[in-house]
Amino acid sequence: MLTLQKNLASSAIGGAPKRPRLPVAGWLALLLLSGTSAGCSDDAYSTPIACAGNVVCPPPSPSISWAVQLWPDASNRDISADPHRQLTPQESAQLAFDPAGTAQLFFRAPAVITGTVSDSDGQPLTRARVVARLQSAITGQSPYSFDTLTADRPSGMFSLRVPVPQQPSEQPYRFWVGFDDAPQAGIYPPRWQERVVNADSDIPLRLRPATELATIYGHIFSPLGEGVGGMTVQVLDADNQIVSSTSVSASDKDQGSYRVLVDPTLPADPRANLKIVVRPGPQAITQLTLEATLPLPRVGTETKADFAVPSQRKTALFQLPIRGAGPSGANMPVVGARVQAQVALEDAATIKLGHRAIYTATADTDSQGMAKLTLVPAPTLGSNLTYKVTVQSPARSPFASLQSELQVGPSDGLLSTIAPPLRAQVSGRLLNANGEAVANAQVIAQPIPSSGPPRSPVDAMVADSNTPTQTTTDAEGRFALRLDGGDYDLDFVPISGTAPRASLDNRRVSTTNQDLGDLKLPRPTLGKFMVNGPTGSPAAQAKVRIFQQPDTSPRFGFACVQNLPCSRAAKLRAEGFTDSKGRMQLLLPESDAVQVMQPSQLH
Amino acid sequence: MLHRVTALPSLLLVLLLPLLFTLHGCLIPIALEQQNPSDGGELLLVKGAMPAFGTQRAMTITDAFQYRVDVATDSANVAGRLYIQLNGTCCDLNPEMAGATRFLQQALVQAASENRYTVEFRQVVQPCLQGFAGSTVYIVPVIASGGFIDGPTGTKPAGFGEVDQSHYWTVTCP
Repeated sequence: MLTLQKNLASSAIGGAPKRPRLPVAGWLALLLLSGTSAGCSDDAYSTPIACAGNVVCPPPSPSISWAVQLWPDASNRDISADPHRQLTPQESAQLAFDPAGTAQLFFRAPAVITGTVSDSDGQPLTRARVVARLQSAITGQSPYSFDTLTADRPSGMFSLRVPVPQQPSEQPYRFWVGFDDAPQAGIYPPRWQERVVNADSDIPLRLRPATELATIYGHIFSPLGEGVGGMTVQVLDADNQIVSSTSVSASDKDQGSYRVLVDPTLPADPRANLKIVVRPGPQAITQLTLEATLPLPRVGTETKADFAVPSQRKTALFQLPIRGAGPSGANMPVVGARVQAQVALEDAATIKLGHRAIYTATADTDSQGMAKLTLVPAPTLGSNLTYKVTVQSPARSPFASLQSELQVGPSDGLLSTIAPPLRAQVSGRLLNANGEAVANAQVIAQPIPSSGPPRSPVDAMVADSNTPTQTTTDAEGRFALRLDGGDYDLDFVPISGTAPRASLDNRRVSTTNQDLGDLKLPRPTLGKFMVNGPTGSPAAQAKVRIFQQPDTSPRFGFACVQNLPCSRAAKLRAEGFTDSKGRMQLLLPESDAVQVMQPSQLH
Repeated sequence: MLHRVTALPSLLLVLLLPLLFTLHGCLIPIALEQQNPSDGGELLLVKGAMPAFGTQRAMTITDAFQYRVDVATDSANVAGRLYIQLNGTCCDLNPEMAGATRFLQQALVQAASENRYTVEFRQVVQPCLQGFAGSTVYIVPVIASGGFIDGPTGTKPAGFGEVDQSHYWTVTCP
């Protein structure tokens, strides 16, 4: 018998953790556990507990809009094989089951995209980055992204293997070409184009000639009027897409100068201003980020945009206590909170040039609730600086995240305490479809992202509070979460196979506690899946993820109208891996939400 | 870039593998509880990730990424944390040095099937807002088969059982 002792991996301080060395039998067990050996691992097709024995689960409801993602087993990749037989991530936004509850799924053959990146004269360009990006048709899922560099031989050539979308004409790929190298990026602004991909294609990517571009140029000046190098200039459109970028010269001859070419056809909204963001590189003498807005320049024009680093005092260490009155009333430190402080600095030069200069500092609170922040002090004879401070309280903390203003004077040291209020408590009891308590289920409060225009990159440096919060139901199915004010979806994930996943969407949480009462999970249904590869052979160990698409149709209290909470993300309802024959069974909910047995009570 | 959890140096294992694979279809299951009677959570294998481990090119500063890791383990206590390494090296995680390493979030771990778990980092990550322009940022998941030493509210990468922090994503920032 083998005995493996519990190993305590070392802290990362002073080096990488030591790993326990597994004896041979341990590795053999791991091999078996991994299930990579094709043969007789049919566990995935075993019937979930909730539908086992005499219980007959109906097929998944056709009234729910199902979607599916398929991910191939990464360990079975064979790079020498025919690329059209290899499996790539797939999805289907419309998943249908037959009357027996079976869905036939297959990996479509991928397409191979080849092409050459060339300049406007047709000269091939090496080391260009080509990115193929496909938006997911399942709302809330990340886009699929595939990228490569153009080769030295054959010069400028690229080849990408990408999945063919379910509906190619409605899901075009966006092909983007640009350069990682900042000076090269300044000469060749990026280019992108949308293309339908339904088979192997040759896509030549030719960059625009200078005669079709506009130029933005200028200097970055220090408070002494000298050039500042080591910065990067990025030109962004209203969607924060980079339409051009370059590095600021660090050479003695033209220190602090930059020149960037802009393709005026690229911005999504030609009427919106461009943003020019100057960011410090690792060698920059300043940690400020500079930002200006500029109307979209016309083809063939040259526009000057100078920036000035405002005069400021040397940064100093400040201590910011984050403490509040805990649930018992006692004063408690907020431990492990992320604190970000941001201030806009200005002087005569920045006012004259009309741009923003932003300084941002970040620190986590220690065990005493103290955040040690390196801040720019106020001028000795001037007024205090007003920092915008964001405190992101850890998910399990009883204290709320908050935004606040902080006055910083000329002297370093201790700042005024920030006292976050307590988070509201959201509680309830989870029951299965038979009315029995569901113990050990995960309850996850997923914040609903606020809609609206994208924030400026400078403003986005101060994070929004969007941390999911999680707890587990007790033996009686009870749960309690402490949440920041905001809109949430509550996702309920019972132990695998015992009950279907479901959610209670669009809950608005304020500062008052909410008792949701008894929450009843939907009845289970049983989905059966057969997954095959492009040639019809079973796809073993493929990951299958089943989503329920959101219902955003107008309904009182749950509609994407006015200022009501509105969840637009598809919900993951089940996931698992196929067996060696490409089969699997998953529990799915019969209806689209948990049933609230008692109305909410506000205390 | 993929790294193995640890090497498989054993000659005995090399000799046994061909024998196992010549069996027609089936491997003889070894009862894991016999292998690991003390605590569970010693066996951990990173099976894959979404997106796949490797380099991602951010196309703008505010590009947001979401990460998941699939693991095989015999431990129901498996837990995951996500860190960002900003100083251009990987992966000597030290959250005490805020300029080099930052803890991002604790994972939600859900069973996908028997002995298979999805370690899901639900909060989107905007790596290029945290580092310098033109930098390479490493996103490092730490998976601990037996959970983390400082409990679910902690932020340190030290864990119980087998700990994997050798897989990572690289984000090239504009």
